[in-house]
Amino acid sequence: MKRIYAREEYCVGCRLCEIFCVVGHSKTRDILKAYKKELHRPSPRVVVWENGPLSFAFQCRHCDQPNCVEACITGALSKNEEGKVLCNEDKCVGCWTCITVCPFGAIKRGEGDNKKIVKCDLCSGEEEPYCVSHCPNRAIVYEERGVE
Amino acid sequence: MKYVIIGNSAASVGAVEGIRKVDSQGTITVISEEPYQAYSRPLISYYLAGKVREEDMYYRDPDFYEANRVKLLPGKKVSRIDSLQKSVKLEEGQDIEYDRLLLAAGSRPFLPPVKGIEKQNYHFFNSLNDVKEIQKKVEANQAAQPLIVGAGLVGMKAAEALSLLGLPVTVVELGSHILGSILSEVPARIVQRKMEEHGIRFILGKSVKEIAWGGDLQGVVMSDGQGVLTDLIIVAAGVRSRLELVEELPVSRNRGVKVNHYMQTDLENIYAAGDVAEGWDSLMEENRVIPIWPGAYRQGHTAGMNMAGLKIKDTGGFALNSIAFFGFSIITAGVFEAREGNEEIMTREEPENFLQLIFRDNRLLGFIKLGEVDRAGIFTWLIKEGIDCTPFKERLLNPDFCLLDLPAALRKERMRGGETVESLGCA
Amino acid sequence: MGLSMLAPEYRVDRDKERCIDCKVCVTQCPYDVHYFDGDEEKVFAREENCVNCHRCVVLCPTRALIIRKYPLELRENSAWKEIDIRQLQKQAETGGILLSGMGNPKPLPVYWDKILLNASQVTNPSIDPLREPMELKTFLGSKPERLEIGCDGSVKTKIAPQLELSAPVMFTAMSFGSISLNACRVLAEAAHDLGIYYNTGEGGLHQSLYEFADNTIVQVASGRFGVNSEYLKTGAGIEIKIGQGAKPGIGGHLPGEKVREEVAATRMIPLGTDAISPAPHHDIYSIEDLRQLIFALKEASDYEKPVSVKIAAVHNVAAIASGIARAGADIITIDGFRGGTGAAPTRIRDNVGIPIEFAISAVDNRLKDEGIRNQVSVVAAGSIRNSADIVKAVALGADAVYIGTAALLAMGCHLCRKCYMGKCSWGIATQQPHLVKRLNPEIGRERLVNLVTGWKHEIKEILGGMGINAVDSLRGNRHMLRGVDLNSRELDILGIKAAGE
Repeated sequence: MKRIYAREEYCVGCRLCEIFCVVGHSKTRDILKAYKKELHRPSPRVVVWENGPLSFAFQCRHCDQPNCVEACITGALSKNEEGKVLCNEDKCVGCWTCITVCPFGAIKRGEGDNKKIVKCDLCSGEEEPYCVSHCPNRAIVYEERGVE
Repeated sequence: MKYVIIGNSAASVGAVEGIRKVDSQGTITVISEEPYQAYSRPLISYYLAGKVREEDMYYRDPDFYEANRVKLLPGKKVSRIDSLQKSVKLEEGQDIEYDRLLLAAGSRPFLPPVKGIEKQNYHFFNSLNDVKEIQKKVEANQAAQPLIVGAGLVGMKAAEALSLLGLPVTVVELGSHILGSILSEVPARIVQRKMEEHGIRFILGKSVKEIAWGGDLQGVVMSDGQGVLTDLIIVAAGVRSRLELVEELPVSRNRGVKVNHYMQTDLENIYAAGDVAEGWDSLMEENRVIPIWPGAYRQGHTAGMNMAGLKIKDTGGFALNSIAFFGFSIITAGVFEAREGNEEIMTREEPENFLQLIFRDNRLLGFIKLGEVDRAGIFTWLIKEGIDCTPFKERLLNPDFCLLDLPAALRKERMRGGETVESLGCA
Repeated sequence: MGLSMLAPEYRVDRDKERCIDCKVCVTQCPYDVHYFDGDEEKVFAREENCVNCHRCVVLCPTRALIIRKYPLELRENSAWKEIDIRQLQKQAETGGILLSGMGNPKPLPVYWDKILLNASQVTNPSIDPLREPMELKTFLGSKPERLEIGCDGSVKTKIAPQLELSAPVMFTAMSFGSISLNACRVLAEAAHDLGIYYNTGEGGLHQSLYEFADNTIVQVASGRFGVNSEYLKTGAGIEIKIGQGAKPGIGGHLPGEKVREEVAATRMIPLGTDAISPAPHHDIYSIEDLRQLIFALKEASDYEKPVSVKIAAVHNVAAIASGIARAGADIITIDGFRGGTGAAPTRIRDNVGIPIEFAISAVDNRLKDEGIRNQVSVVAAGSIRNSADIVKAVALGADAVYIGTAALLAMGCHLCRKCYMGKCSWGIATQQPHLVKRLNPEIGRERLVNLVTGWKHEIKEILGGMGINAVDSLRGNRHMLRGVDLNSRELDILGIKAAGE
């Protein structure tokens, strides 16, 4: 399946991926409205990790055998037919069991009042995830790599 | 092929999904004592606290049984298993034949020996029905001073829920600190303090000796003679595997039913998974009961695939837990106390955060993480894979520890990630 | 140190209606202009640090940023212009030689803009390059005086080694050290894709770029950095650098902080040491000495590579070029006074040398007069900005041109001219790892290939308009040029007529 891959050698640490992830998951999908007007601005589902010159954007790997789905106590997490690991936010209670088992550290706790997990959904419905299409340096790519 | 599953929780659902991955034809019968479709047992405290509605507790979509062509027999109790006839007898007399049987009956709460307790209206905190009864009492103002016996995971979640309902809760624990099954002393004190801030009172190092006052519950007498007023007793003193159905069967058992790597008992056609089974602990390298939800699902899933004809070894797992009280999170996995003396412990303690890591030969054996629990799964992975942490050991304590801190080769392999990840085997 | 008396050069206008305090500008500014104030929870700017590199402007996701010239009314007069006042103030603060990056910005005449091209009308009809073949292929190297053809039709004359270009344009010398490895890679890959050449500059050739050897001209400069037998044999051509248009008469200085591991290894110098190129080659004090070096290099490369000699366009460029041709060079590269650089003393850059347009015609005339034009190819460099400049250069007499600044602009440079600070916010003129990453060679390569591909189309169209179907027919064809706003002396030197003549 197509996955998002970070290319650490080209990540410039600008965090536009985080910003546009928020936009892509906002109600209006308009950056100014999302940041200036919307009351409940979503948290970014991608995180840029940075240490000196090394940085990269990271998000859920949508594992073939997702530990989080196996471990989810409420059945909120599931892997759909396309292979996307998705969270049904109506069912998530924020028990963080998925965080306990995600070997990538790719699931975040919701911020503030949001007691549900925050994870990449590959921008369901979009041709290319927002983080990928808004990276200024092609440091995030969305492609099929298969198993090497 | 006729599949019969006794029990209807995580292991059972895992088995159904495992069977259906392999065999779309065979008949599946699920026998459940409880009158519900499979629900998330850990959510009962959320339900009591009013955080989730009953319909949100179901572990799978409402059409789960239909979609998987499962015959669900809710509210039915199995009276015995006839392994020669290969049939299961229900209490109401019906016989159900099986080709493959899965024992996924789970565990039952343990009732400690307290004088007078059997006469009293005590409650367990293990099923939806348990909390519905408690809820009724609370709503009828018949539970003004709840007392919880046992400060384990179940007891503490009960305490939190009742406290959220505005009740003054007292917790009695025989051990020296709370959450003794997952926490060492120092972090346990931190959690205790957090709970005390929310009005929960703890009586540690003592047990309930007697429920002294006859008919109408007013209080209990502690082991040191102290009296504690209460009008609602919740017993949360641990669980025991439900072995009653296998007592007459020629299968070996210890605390749970013994299974091999294929989740098979000594009888070829009978499998076991979840709290009832002694599955493989990959960390301790022994078979034992690890009564946690994700492990039950995994074992059930493996059992299901093997019942349907595959030959898949269970990866095994180890203890891990994620729990939160009043929004304060706790994640633990693996070993949390030094046992053999050759372990190395590193800790970081801050007012709102705590991290303890235990190593042996520079390999992570276990961790306790309180507060900011993000990315704890990387630790779990380090434990599972037995990775030599020498090159980045000091960074593990860093609050921002993430894949970035791994050596380049390991990091790049991880960043590709996704395809190569095996089931973690979380139990 | 006390308060600086320098006024900011730029002002950062942040539209608060649009700014979302996302801090992209903060993370991207290598000059510490933007900063996030935790108390106010807002982004602010230290404008005095701004160099107007546009990194923040381009990456700002809400277009909230505008960089303006600082609205300061200096007491200018016709003698004391703003730049003079500011440079003086800066020098008074530092006491050093003023340094500058890129080419001469002074408002001296750009002769390209005073030269106009011809087009066919009615007679000698124009050619449509979309319908008819149009040849831009260019060979650089010494051409024989005459060809001897054998009875069987084969060429009997021995032809000197040639560089074959798909179009008369190449990427000029920019060393690894002055620019990042990623930038070098962009040049190499784009040259490869385009079927042209790039020049290593004086910094040697990084191991990872050896695969592009067939599109590489290796340079030998006064510091001899990175020169070894493998290097000389690897390049498709060799260039001896005598001078550079931006700083004729002086050498180069790569500060030690840019000499990191890879640069040190490639240059074959110790880590962290200053790489100093002397002003002269210490073994060249005459045309005869130059000839020795040319032939030493030919000997070292088995006479298989054309050797170029690069000089800055200076007053007696024609005579020097003649000497170079006679010294045995196959190519003469002339770099005009608007040529760029990573760092040059401002006074040198802005006041030394002559415009390339005059140099081309002077050299072409001189070599023709002496009957040795065929012995060498002439490559013009320094301030070629577009395809029309190339056409004009070729019509004036150049065989091909080098582009430098234009290539950098294509890969992302925004011409802030602070290359010498080593903090290039576009990842080009820097060796700092977190900045080098900003130039993704994949993207740079595409952009540079796009630029030259576009130029090729334009050149074909211009040639077609002139009724010419091969760039060879344009070379030295000054009838295709007319001058405007030029005096008769300038027209004479350029060898062109005035418009209307």
